[in-house]
This record gives sequence, C-alpha cells and structure tokens, in this order.
Amino acid sequence: MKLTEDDIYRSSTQYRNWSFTPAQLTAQRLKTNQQASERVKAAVARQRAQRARQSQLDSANTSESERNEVVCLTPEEELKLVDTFCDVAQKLGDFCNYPAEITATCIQFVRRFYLFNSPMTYEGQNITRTAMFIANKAESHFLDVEVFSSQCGKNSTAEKILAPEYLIIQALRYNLDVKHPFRALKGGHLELVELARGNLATLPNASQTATELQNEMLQLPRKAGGPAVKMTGPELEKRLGEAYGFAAYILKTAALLTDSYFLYTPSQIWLAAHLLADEPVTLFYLSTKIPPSHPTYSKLVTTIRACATLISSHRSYRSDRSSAEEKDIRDQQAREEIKALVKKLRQCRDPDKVDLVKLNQAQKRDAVHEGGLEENKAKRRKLQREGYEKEADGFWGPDIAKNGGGK
Amino acid sequence: MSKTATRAGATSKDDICPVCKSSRYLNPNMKFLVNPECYHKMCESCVDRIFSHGPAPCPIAGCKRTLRKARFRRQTFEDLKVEREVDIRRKVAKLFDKEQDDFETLRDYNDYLETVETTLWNLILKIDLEATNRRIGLWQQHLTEESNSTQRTQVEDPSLLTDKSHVILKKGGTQRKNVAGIKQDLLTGVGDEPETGFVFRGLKKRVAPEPEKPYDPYNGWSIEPQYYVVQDDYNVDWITHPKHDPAFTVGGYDVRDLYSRALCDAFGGLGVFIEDEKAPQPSVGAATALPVVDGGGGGGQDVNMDDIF
Amino acid sequence: MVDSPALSPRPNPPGAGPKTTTSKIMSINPKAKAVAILNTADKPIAMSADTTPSNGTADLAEQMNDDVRNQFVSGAKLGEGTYAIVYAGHYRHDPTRLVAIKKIKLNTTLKDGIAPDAIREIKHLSELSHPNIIQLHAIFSTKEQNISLVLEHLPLGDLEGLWKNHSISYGTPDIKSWASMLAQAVWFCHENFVLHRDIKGNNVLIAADGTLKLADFGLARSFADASRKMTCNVITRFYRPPELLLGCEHYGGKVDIWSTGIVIAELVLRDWFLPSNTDAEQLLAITQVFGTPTEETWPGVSTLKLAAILGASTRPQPMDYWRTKFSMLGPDGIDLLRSMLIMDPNKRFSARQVLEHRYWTSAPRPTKKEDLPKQGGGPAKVGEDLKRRAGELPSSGRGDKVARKLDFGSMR
Repeated sequence: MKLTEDDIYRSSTQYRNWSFTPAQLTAQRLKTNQQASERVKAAVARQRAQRARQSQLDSANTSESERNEVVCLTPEEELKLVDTFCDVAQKLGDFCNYPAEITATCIQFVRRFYLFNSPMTYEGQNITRTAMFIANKAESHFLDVEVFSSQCGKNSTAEKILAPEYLIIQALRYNLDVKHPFRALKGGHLELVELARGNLATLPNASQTATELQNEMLQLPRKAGGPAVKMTGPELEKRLGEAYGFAAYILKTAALLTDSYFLYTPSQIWLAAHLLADEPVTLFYLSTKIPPSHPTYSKLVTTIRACATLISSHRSYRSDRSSAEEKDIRDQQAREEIKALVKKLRQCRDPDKVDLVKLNQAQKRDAVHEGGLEENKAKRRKLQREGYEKEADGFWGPDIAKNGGGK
Repeated sequence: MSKTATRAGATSKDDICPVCKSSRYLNPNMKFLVNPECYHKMCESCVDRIFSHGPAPCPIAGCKRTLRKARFRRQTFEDLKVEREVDIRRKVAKLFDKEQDDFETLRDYNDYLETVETTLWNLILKIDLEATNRRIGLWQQHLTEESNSTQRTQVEDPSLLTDKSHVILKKGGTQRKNVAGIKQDLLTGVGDEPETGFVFRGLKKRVAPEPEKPYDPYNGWSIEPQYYVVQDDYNVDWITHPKHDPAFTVGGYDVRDLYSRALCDAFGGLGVFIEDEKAPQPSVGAATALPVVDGGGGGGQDVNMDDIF
Repeated sequence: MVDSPALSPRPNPPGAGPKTTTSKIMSINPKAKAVAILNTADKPIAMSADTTPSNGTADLAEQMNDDVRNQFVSGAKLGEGTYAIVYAGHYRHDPTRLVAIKKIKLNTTLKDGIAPDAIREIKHLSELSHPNIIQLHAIFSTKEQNISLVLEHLPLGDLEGLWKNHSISYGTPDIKSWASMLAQAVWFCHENFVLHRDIKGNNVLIAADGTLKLADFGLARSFADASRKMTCNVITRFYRPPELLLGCEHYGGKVDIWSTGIVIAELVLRDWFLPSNTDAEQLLAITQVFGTPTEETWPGVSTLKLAAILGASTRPQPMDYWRTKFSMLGPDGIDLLRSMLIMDPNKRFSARQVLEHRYWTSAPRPTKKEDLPKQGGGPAKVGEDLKRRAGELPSSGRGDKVARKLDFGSMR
C-alpha cells in the first residue's frame, strides 16, 4: 500500500465519521432537534399526568406554565446555544491554562456531541465541563477529578463531572482523536521560512529552483491585487511571523467556533486562516506545491476561500478593518440573544435528563445488579447443563472413544 | 463379485497354470505373474523359462503379442479385467490430471470428467480404438509441448485385450457404449479431429508462477508524502528549540519527528475535498469501520480485503 | 398516559461459557480496583421522574450504538483480565467472520471516570489500520455502561507462549519472519506518530493464518510534540530501555525499538533476556550486557534525573557473547539486534532504519506466514476442539460425508 499524507488523513476517524457536507450537517441537526422535541413533549406530558393524578387527592391547581404547550427550540437556536457552550469551554480552558490542543479538543467534542443530541435534552454546562475533562484525558493529560471540579467553580462536584462522561463518549462514537490545524500551521510556517531563505527542498517535479522561488517571494505584493514590493529577507520573515500570529489567533478562536472542522480538513483550515492573514503569500505557497495549471489547484483555492469565508463570518473574527468597537457591539448583540434563548430553554428542558448524576448512578447500579444477575443465571444454566450431561451419561453410558469403534 | 465366465473346472483359485498346466497341488509356492500387454497370466517358472532369453511371443494360443520378462508383475486384483481396467485408468489419469480449480465453472469440469471417462471406456471396451489412441497420442504431444520440462517418456499405448471385448464389465455398459459413440461424434465434430486430440472448454488460463521477488521488508507498504519533502533541519527557533535542549536530546527525542509530524499534519487532507467525497451517504453518521487489510509477512492474502485506498 | 417505567436495562447479555484463563492484559500500572455496589443514592421511587430513563425513543447516539452492537453476536468467554473480559463472537450476518469482544469492566469506584487505558486504546486503535496491528472493527456499549471493543480474533496465542512452548521448534527463517512482521507494526505506529509503549512478547498475538499482530494499546500515546513531558514509568520492566529507567521525560520512538529488540532476543534465546525484580536491578542487568554508559558513549547521560543509580562501571560483553547466544540470527541478525539495543537512544536505530537493514534481504529468506510453526492455541482452542463432534476434522472442505475420490494417478 502506497500511502500519501492524504491517505493517512482518510484513515482517521475525523474523516470517516465526522466529516459532512453542509447539507448533511443541517439535515442531521434538524433530525436531532425534532427527535429531542418529541421526547421533551412526551416527557412533560407524562410528568403532568402524574402530577395530575397526585393532585387529584389535594385540590391544587396546575400552574399557568404547565397548562401551556411546550415550545421547543429550533435547530438554529440550538446551534447558537452550542456556540455559547463552546465559548464557555474556551474561557474555562484559558482560565485553567490548558494547552491550546486540549481546549480545542474540548470544543470539538461539544460540537460533535450536540450534533446528535439537543441542548434541550442535555444541559450545556454539565456537558462542557465533562467534555473538558475528557479532552484532557484524550490528550494524555490525566487530571484528578476533584482538582478539576474545584477549578470549574462552586457549582460543580466530582460526581457531576463524571456523570455524563460515558454519555459523551458514546455520543462521540468512541472517536476521541481530533486532528487540529495548530501543528499544521507550525509546519507550514517552517516551510515558508525556509522558502523565504531560499533553502526549501524542492519537490521532485518542481519547475523552479529554490533561489528562483525565493526571489519571487521577495516580490510578493502586500495585499491581494496590490502592487509588487521589494522586501528584504528579514522583512519577509517578519511578515511571515505576523501572518503566523494572526493565523494562529484565528485557529484558536473563529475556526474552532464554527463548523469548519466538519466541512474541511485541518490542512485546508490552516491554509484558510493563513489566507486571511496574508493572501499573496498563501497563494504563492500553494502554487509551489501544485502547479496553477493543474485542476486541483483551482479547486483547492476555491475550497480554501470558502473555508476562509466561513471562518471570517464568525463574530470573533477581527480583521484589521473592523475596529474593536464593532466587535464589542457584535458581542453585546450575541449576549442578548443568548439570554433570551436560555430563558426559552428553561421551559423546554427534558425533565428526565436534568439530574444526570442520579441517572448515572441508577444505570450503574442496574449494571452491577444486572451483572450479578447475569452471573447467577449463567451459573444456573451451566449447572443445569452439567446435570443433564451426567444424567445422559448415566443412561446411555459414556461416549465411545473415537478409535474404539464405529460412530 | 466376479462375474467372470468360468472355464471348465477352474475356479478363481487359480490352481493351474494355463501354460504348463502344473497345479498348485504339486507346487505349493507357485506364483502367478501377469503381463499388461495381453493380461495373460502364467506361473513364475514359465515366465523364467520362456522369457529369460529375451522377448518372445506370448505362449497362450491365439495371442501373438511379444512379451518381455520385465513387464511381468504380480496381479493386484483377483479379476484380470479389473487389473486391466486399473492399468488403463492409471495411464490415462497421468495425462488427464486437471482439477476443478482449473476450470471456470463446475459444468466445464464435469464435461471434462465426462470426456475423460468416455475416452477411458472406449479404451476399456475397445471402441474406436484407433481413433481414441490417436487422439490420446496427440494430447500427449500437446502436453509435452506445453510443459517446459524435459520430455516425458513415451506412454505406451494402453494395452488392449483382443479377446473378451464383448465382456460387459458394468451394468449399463452397452448404453455407455452408445453414449460413448455419440459423444465421440460430438467431440470430433464433422469428423475432423482437433489438433491436440482433445479440447476442453472453460479451462482457466494457467498463469506460470512468477519467479520469487526479493523479500520486501515493508511488505508493500510505504508512506510517501506528495506535497512536501522533509528536510533534515529547519531553523525557526521558537519551534525548533528542542534540538538544542539537552533535556530533549539526551532521551532520544528526535526533532526530525517534530518536523515530520508538523508537515504531515500540514498537508494531510490537502487534496481531500469533503464536499465531493462525502456526498452520497445513505445515512449521516453511519459508523464506518476501518477497512480490513490483508495479512503481511510473506505475501499471502487473507479472505477479507476491503480496500479504501 | 404512561407510568414511569421501572428500571430495566436492555436484554442481550453476552453468553457464558466454560471459563478459561488467557489473560491478555498485563501492565505495570495498577489497574485493579475492587468492584463495589454503589449504594449511596436512595432507591428511586417509581413516581420520581428523575432517575428513570426515558421510555420514549432512545437517543440518536444510543440508536447508532445499538446498530453497531447488533452487528455482532457474542459467545463464550475466552478469558478475563483485571480490567476487561474477552468473549468470542462473530458477525451476525456472517458467522464465519470471527471476532473477539473485549468488554471493559464497569468500575463503579474508579475515581476519575473511565480508565486511561481504555481511553488510550480506543483513541489509538481506531486510527491505525495495518495488517500487523490488531484491527478494531467497532466499539459499542451496553446499557450498563460497559464499553466493548470488537477486535480481531487471534486464536493462536502470543509470542511469549510460542517460545515458552517447548513442543514447538523453529529456526532462523521463522525468527526472521516474525521479527519482520513485528518491525513493520512498530514502523507503522511510528509513521503515524503513535508510541506503543508496552511492546512485549505477550502483547504480540498470532492470527489464524500466522500473521503477527501487535495488540494492547493501553499505554500508547502520540509523540513528537515538543511541549509536554511524558511519563517515564511505562513499558514492562524487562523491556524498558535505559533512558526510561534513568528518568528521562522527553523521548521518542526509540523506546519501542529497544522493547522490540528485547522481544526478538527472547525469541532467539527462548528465555527471558534481561529479567530483574526491581528497576535498579533492571539497569544492572542492562549494564552487565552492554556496559555502563559514559559521557563518551552516551553524551548527556549524566544529566538524567536518576543517573545516580548507575553503579560501578562495567564493560560491555564481547562479540563472542553475541555469537554464541544468538547464533540463530546469523551475523546480520546480530548486527541488527545490537543496533536496536544501543544504549544511547540517538544512536539506536529507528524503525525505518531497522527495516532498511540488510538482515531482511540476506539469506535465508523469511518463511511465508502459512508455513510458520504454530501452536495449538491454548486452553481456549482446546475447549473449542472438545466442543466439536467426534471425527470431525478442523477444516473439511467438502465434508467427510462425501466419499473420497479415488486418485488413480497417484497410485503405485
């Protein structure tokens, strides 16, 4: 098997199970939302029925809200809530000073989780905290759960953190490996710097030498479509450094908080971020990898541009053009929206799944109990079987040896 | 089981040698030998007496075949006809040794078996003997030409019994005879014989086994990046600092692994366009297991082979 | 109007069969924790909605999980380790395709949630696909929160069992074949930037067709990230390289190469190569064969955290030691083995260098895996043997019911 780096990516679970087209993504979220809504309505109806029966004894009248129909969230609203949870995750990660990978993995876990579950069913705070805990474990950073929960704030306890752990891992379909573009960006940066210095090892079918490439690079315009400039080596490296910084910032924020991981590969994501940071350099770099005349090149550029558009549409994206004030205004708007949504959410939560700790304990107790039952059943079965065999031997006589005669 | 017509008085106990008429009673150690040329049997002493000086004609009256001493052997079966048949089968089996695996379909294999059996019956019952022998000869030639090994020794024509050709060896032998006759016609078409004597349909192409290639320690696997070449050295200090840090280098931390990994990440999936590749899916999120790959170690193939690459 | 359902986990428990002991999971990290019945919460009242699982449609995630689970049928128990139970099983739609279902035990008192081994194994095995690495077909869970890994079925035991079994004899080409497959597995892991960190004889399993498969990724992790320190308390002691014994916290693929070298050495010697009872003894055993490392032979060794435990200096064994003990490898093999066991990890061969060595292409040619000596398969296999009817042969193609075809051509 001759594998290229693309093939290696194709063998990853991120590609196999967690990559979708935009249409598939929306369809899935719709499905999840519908199912969850049904669940909620059924559960609420059931609860009301119980309370109604109970209250037949005392003449309490049902409260206003219960008589009304439950209004559930729409998929778009759910998505907004999920984004909020991701924000929370990011703040938590920053607060605890975790490496970027861990926070990023956590955010992706949350997004993946809510692809198949709804915020109405499982409350975001719990899930986010536990997702952070799992992300730490997945990145070989094993925490003491007590220590972790104390960092999460007064409201959290070790049981609360552990309760949804199993649930989340199941919803993630046991794929705990998330491939991030951070290291990829570093790798790209390494190559770019070498390219700038004229030292890059050229690909076998490259048409230009390293020095030619270097010269070309030194003359790249600062902005797309702008005039060619003449830079010196150090200036170029400084430019690359700045591009790296901005791209890294984008990757840690906007790229994570959008659906980019589902729709694009990490390689395309880091290139998209770099494109936003410094378009001419990125395009030039790509042209050294794939000749512009090749059809893949234009396709790739289109894909990367699409990814860039997606990322830059996120409200945390701050290009040079928009000011800090604009960003604040956007943030404020977002906060108000979220407040309204949270209020709405409170009305349509699935009552069965509110207390995950008790749920978890109940399941575990069942499991052990069932496990014990199973053992007993198995033993009984075995003893029965042995009993039969003994009887059979007693009646028919023991089995004739293979060589002792016909059988 | 034997339905042999009995000669007057003699039982299958072979008490009397047909040539010298000496009986076992007089010579308790008398052993009978038989010659596959004509399947006449005689006692050892006769063989010694008659053939020690070289080939001589068979002493049984009416059989004019020249026999040699060396070809005499003990009789394996009580019934000489069976002996003869077995000899014929043995010889033919050497020429027609194809297995089911050599044929595309079961039907073809069965047709082949039918043809071979028909030929055998022709030989045994001496139907169209000349034509059959000729065809066998041609087939034999064809086989020797086909194989690159040294020439096979000439397989002698199956010996033929001149007498007893009317004997029916099996039930339905007459029918067989007719069928055989028809078959022959079918096979030979309009009377002309195929060049090689026999044509079998549905033979799989026999591929000559390739000479063994030198052992590949990777067993065919390789990982070659297509978008980049890993250099031995990069110089961006804040990324590549481990190479100077003794805490890293003493333990075998290889900074080239870092480069390699960063670049693999950077380009892994560059050419993977999810929009296209994930488009027709039966259900979103259908769990896909890793494709099962074949076993390594020596070139064998496992039964499961789902290749996504 | 439906009453709250009583607690009832779903049916379909794995079947119980004759108990056998084939422990596949052994590691130095203490994994055993007592299973206790959790009794802290009050027994739920039937009316309370909090503790009862929803009676409606299952989660989408649960549905998908059930889809996966229903693809398999589990059967007899094959063995039990401290943290998992292994059952035999097969695909529901194709009973000839066998699998082993490893059910990771529910541990109600495990303090920090799901065990690290489980997480590591799940994470890394899902991403690796190579003929010499055990294949993870699927993962599912039961309502009881047990995670079950559906792995390849490898009935012929492991490498350690092979060399311990004195009724099986093997020679130079066989060793070369096994070593080659193991090296390929390690190479593939490293190419995907995964360290196995627990390579030893009984984690190298043998498939029915003779292929070697590397298993048990419970200690694996990815490497080549500069930022973080890694623990040096990995790899079973006999197979642990000196840099780990000396407390190094930044290392790379070379640690696996050392372990692989030891495994190959054991295969040749048919005995433990460097046994010991403590870490210090292990270091002693290593230095007695390879000599104490010095700043010349291993620059920087004195800076390692635990360098102090290096005792008095010893000289390495002479070449004769190698030629006599490892004669079955031949001169090329000895050269390769020694390169895999160089003390200084920087000089030690990498997986790629191992596969580029001339040992593989020099005579004799490694045996084809079909021809490798195989063992019977241990008690589990024997149990299966016993379950078959008398007179039934293991692999009868057309069945013994058809009369054998007389082969006249081969008579005489």
